[in-house]
Amino acid sequence: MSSLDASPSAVTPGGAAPQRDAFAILVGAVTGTWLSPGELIGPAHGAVASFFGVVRDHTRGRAVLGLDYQAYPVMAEAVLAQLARAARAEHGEDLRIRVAHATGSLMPGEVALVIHVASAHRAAAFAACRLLIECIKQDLPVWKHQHYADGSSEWMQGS
Amino acid sequence: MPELTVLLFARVAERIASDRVRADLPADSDAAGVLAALARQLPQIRDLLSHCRVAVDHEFVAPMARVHLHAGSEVAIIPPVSGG
Repeated sequence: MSSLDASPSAVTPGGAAPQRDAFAILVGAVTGTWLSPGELIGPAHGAVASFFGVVRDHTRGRAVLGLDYQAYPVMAEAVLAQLARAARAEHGEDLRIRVAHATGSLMPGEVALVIHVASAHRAAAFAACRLLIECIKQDLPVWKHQHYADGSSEWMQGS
Repeated sequence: MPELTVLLFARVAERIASDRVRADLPADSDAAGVLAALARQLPQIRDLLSHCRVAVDHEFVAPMARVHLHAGSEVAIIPPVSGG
């Protein structure tokens, strides 16, 4: 497990610099402290939006037994930091953002991704959370290898 | 033409049965040039490469941008992603 705290470019002179951003590509499912926004929330934050991506037990009518996530961890953490900067530029410099993505073998019901966004108001929190998940789906260098009940498996493209 | 280690992932790595290959890549090119050079040297992944993006030093290369490669460059071939 590795994480990256507060990207330097997010610090605005004299402003409320976000101090507790964190981005991580984890070994195994997302668990523990990552599941809660925790210390992400500051006194100026009136809203937190969280998104959980969970392993589903079916895809297009086929039963899924489990999956493996492969990642390019160094680039993935860089992409998350970049997406957080973009979300902040779009929805407010006061946002604090934590994102963790799982790698390795996961079973249906396990958490593959979590996004927490804290903001002064709910509109920005929801919008930034939505922007982050859509951009992650397009650009995060992580790949899902899905195993089906019929014994077959495949690398997924998009989702 | 520097010879570099190219990182491979998912379907592309599976096809080659390795997560990295050594390849001669153009020093001054673009993403299409990098993919074309790789396709010439690894015809067994030519069909997959047409759907891939190129990353250098952990950043995607934009479609029209120039790519300057040197001995220490970390080049990666990024197949369509499926995280989340």
